[in-house]
Amino acid sequence: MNPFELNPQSITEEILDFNTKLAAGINTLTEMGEFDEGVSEKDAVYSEDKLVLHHYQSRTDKQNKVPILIVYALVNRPYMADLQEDRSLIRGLLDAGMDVYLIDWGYPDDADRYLSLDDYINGYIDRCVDVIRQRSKQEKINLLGICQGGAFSLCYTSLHQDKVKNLITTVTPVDFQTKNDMLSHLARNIDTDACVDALGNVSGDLLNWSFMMLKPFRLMGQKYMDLVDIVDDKTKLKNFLTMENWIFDSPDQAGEAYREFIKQFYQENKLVKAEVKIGEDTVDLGRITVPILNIYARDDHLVPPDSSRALQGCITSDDYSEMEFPGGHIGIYVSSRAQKTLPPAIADWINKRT
Amino acid sequence: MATENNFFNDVDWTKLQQQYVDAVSSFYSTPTQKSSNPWQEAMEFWWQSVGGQLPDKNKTVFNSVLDQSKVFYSIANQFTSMLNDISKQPSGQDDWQGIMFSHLEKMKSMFDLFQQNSDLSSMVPGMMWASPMDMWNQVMSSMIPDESASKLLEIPGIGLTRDLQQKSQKTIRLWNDYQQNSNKYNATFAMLGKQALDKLGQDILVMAESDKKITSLKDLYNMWVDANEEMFAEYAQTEEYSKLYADLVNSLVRFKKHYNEMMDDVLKNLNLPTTQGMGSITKQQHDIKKELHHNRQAQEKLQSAMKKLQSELDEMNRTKKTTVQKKKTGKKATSKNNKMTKPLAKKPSNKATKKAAKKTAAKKKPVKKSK
Repeated sequence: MNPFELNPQSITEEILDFNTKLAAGINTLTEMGEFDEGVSEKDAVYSEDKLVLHHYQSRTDKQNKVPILIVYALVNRPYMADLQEDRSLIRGLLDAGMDVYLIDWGYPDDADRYLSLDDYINGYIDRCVDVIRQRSKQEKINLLGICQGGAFSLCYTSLHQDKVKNLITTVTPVDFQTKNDMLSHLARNIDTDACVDALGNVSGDLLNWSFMMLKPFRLMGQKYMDLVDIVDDKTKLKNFLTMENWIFDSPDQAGEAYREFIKQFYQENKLVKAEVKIGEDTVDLGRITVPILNIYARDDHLVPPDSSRALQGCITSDDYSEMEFPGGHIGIYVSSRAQKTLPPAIADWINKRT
Repeated sequence: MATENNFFNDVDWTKLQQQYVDAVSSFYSTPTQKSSNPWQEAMEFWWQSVGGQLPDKNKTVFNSVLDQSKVFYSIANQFTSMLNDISKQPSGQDDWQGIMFSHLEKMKSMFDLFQQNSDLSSMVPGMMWASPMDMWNQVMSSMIPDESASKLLEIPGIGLTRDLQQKSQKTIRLWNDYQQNSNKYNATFAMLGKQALDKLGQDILVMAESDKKITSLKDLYNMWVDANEEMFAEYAQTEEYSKLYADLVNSLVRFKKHYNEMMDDVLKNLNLPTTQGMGSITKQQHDIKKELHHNRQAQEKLQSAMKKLQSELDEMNRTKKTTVQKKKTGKKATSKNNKMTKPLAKKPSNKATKKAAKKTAAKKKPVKKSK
């Protein structure tokens, strides 16, 4: 049987309806103002070069005395963890009585071309940790790493375990060469040296293109068609545009750090082999004995669950827990389900250990 | 769907669309040409007049919406024509599959044209496949040389620039490498686009077999996206794609690297700062900064150690004072209570004190002399 239940009239009506929505959409779009880059109240407590360390204002009378430092990835901007009032991991943690700090890496420029992983991990992160330890008068603090920031947190904990009380990794790649890791597959044959030597800092747009090439038709096309269906709903439109604004807000990557990260982590998979060199130190995850909560997203197309779950086999901590979130790489922070489950679970896990 | 009483038999679909365009364009008092896709033309007219009022940030999003709208309109065009042919079958015949596959073949042939012309966006069914490459070109636009590149190649190879000709040849070779890789990449996408059309045809057949219906153009659009995504995902997992992708990126950055070196040669001869020179300065500045951090850290460690020592010393002094005071108090108390008890510490004799004073004076003397 012919499955087409279409006729000229239905097609015309559909296109006219589409066009009407499109035309109405332009009015709604003109009414949308600027987008907040983070919604929770915060104070800058330390800054160095482009980096700013933010301390979020508490939202509860009682707080856990051990602060959490959120270490975000160098790719994209950290306000994804605090996107909107009802879509904010940070707000959730504050409401659960956590004392939250976050590193904003800023936008590296030519002056940052030679920043290495050593500068980021043994330099910036370590100095931020010291500032927080001093401010909170705590010997050790909690670390929460997001994606690449999770890999950095693992390296940091392996090298400075005396300053880390608990470690939470979220959508963090550990084994960079699992079977279905498309990003790693794309990076495998890239001439990283030529890239950095030619470009200096690596453009954020180039990375964005690589991410979108994982699902090119959905991410570069279909989502804009779907937008037409929600364009008359201001709330949904605002959510879409806020996310879109975040996706394309991609800082350039400091050349040397990019070179080291792509080569050591993606191309040579050295993190699981205990061979990653950060400055003069070698990162051995086997040294990590602090409690670890490893959260991964079931439908993550950027960091497959297997890549994150490989952590368990690399560490010696007796206190290791895993949590699977039913969603994708970004959904884990911004979906309504995530707001209800993730921050309370993290806070509960931390409270039991402090 | 070859029904006798079909609306398609009575309506010239293209004419209907053209009437719509004429109606829309009449608002703008602009004479229109007959277009192959009147929906698209109408939209572009509209966008020209209203696009200006959008803020830049939202304009980018809306441009992407419009690009996809064009894909949508093109699907409308393609499939309307196909449905038209299905409806025009002589009574009693119902070879909709044959007509559908014949239309899909026509659409596939446009991808072959693309392989010859390398302009994906001009091909109606290929527009969906154009997005990734369009975005690549936008991202890489700063690396792709403009007219200044050809001027660079025209500089005569004399004096210190005698090896310029050789380098220019290398530039051309590297640029050709990139062009070839870019063409290969596009051709592969075109091949996948054709495979996706086959997949779409198969998916429609499966739907028909399970008696499912396609009730909107959006359904068709979504099915086409799914077919494209599936074909791409399958191929993207192969080693061949990993190499193809890497060749595209690598050939462009190798060209860019060599181009930078050539630019540097020219700048150096003109006594202007070079990229390499600026890089060296940045590297030195970075190293100095790093050293400064290390020194500051070492200084802080020393300061903290000194502070600790000082507090230990203060503590010792306090303990000593307390002990001495206790001793004094104890002595007085003891002497008061028991005159037979021996003193705990010996009081230095007058002779010993004088000897020590002499030694200190002797040590201080040369300092005074040097002054």
